[in-house]
Amino acid sequence: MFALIDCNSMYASCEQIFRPDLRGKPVAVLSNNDGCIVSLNEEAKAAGIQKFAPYFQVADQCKMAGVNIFSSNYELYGDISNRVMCTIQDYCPETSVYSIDESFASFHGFSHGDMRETGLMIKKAIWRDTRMPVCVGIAPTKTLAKLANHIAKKHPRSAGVCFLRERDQTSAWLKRIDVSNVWGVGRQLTKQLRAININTAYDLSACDHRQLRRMFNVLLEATARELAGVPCLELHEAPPQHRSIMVSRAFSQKITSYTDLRAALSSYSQSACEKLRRLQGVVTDVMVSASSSPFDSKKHHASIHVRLSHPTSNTMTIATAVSNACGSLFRDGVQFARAGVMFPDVVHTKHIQTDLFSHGDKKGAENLMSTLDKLNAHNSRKITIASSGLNRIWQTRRKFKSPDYTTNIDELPMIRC
Amino acid sequence: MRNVGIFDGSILIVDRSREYRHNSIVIAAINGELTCKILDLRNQQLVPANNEMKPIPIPDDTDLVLEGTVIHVIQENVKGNL
Repeated sequence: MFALIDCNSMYASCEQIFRPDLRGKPVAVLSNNDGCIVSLNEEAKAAGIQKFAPYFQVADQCKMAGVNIFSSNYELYGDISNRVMCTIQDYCPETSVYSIDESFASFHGFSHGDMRETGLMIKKAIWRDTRMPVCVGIAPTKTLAKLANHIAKKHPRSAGVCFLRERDQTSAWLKRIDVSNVWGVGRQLTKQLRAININTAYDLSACDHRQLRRMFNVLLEATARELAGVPCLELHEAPPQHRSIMVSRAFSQKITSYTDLRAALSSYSQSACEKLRRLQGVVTDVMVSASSSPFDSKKHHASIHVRLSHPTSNTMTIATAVSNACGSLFRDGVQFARAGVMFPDVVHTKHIQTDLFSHGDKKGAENLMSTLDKLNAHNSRKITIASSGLNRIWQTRRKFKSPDYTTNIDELPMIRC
Repeated sequence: MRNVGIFDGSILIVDRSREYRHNSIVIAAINGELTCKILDLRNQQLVPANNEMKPIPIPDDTDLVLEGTVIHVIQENVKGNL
């Protein structure tokens, strides 16, 4: 048995922990540079605010509805995430953190009668220890645990914990869930599945699994089997889906100089490479783009594809390639508003295709990168490559950031006695 | 809260997971504000340590207002040295 514990609107909930005055009130969190809304609690949704809406478009609406707005405070979210994961480990020795706001836990060996009780206990303990609301999904496979969590979130009657136990009951739920909500089924796959009349999670679980392998691949076959209750993924495995990484940001102020654009792109390459290494991935293809605001009179959008000589996750190699590409993106007189670095095809280090004629990264490059990642994980002042510049006029705007309550001694919550 | 050794600028170490006891020094959320009081479970109220302020009655479900137990106090001798 597996459980998936997932925080409810994690970022918005973090902002409420040390602000009891905000509990039960609408809260929304903005993306980097205060660009658009990335997290909303139920109260903010009820006020009609939509996820991913550009902030400037909904600012007035937020004000009218009394929605409390915050810039993202990743220091806080990361620390709270750690605390949540620690509490989960108090109850389940075997866990696998899947993302900042969710973790799988093995319920292996727990008695069936107690599953729901255990789920409720964990939920309660997390609230007690951290003031983070969570939902728990419990099922015989990880894919079903994901769906159980989805059900727990959507249906108030579950009280935040859903245990998919009996096969009949599971099937009834699967029939009500759209196939696009299944773990590992992306937008593209959803379209292809609809074309062959697979519309619900149940359709996928009930079709001929071997035929799925022939028509698609083994991964989808595994997903279908997991939906049918046959475990295919171990605790630490995720469906090894096709992944891409994108770091694209709006600048806090328009950029008109080549040097600034190159520095911004260099800095985004670093973030993208950090993500890449965290996934243990490598890439050979990089897409670099830069554009003006779509509302500008002198509209400009340029993107360029760079092919590297060998698969890598080395920041130096990739940032150099990106900087070189910057020359063909830049145009005089254009007010650049946004730029991005994207890896469309991330390959796991395990599956590297080596090239007879290329030499790969310099010796020791891998050690350098892992040392860099370790240092940056524990320090708030990051070590960066020099090409990303010192004078970052384009850098993150965080106008509504909350204090670093839990990580900075000068910003501890203040209490009146 | 001078009577229990908590002064202006004291740093409190708070344990959220501890069970509440009678006379625990606790952090509570009252009217949306965090505050530090002594828990009087017998009369179901929060008592301030100095006698000038009045006790505050709390609902039966203490979890609604209690945020944690103060387990240590760090006192600052020289301002801004931590």
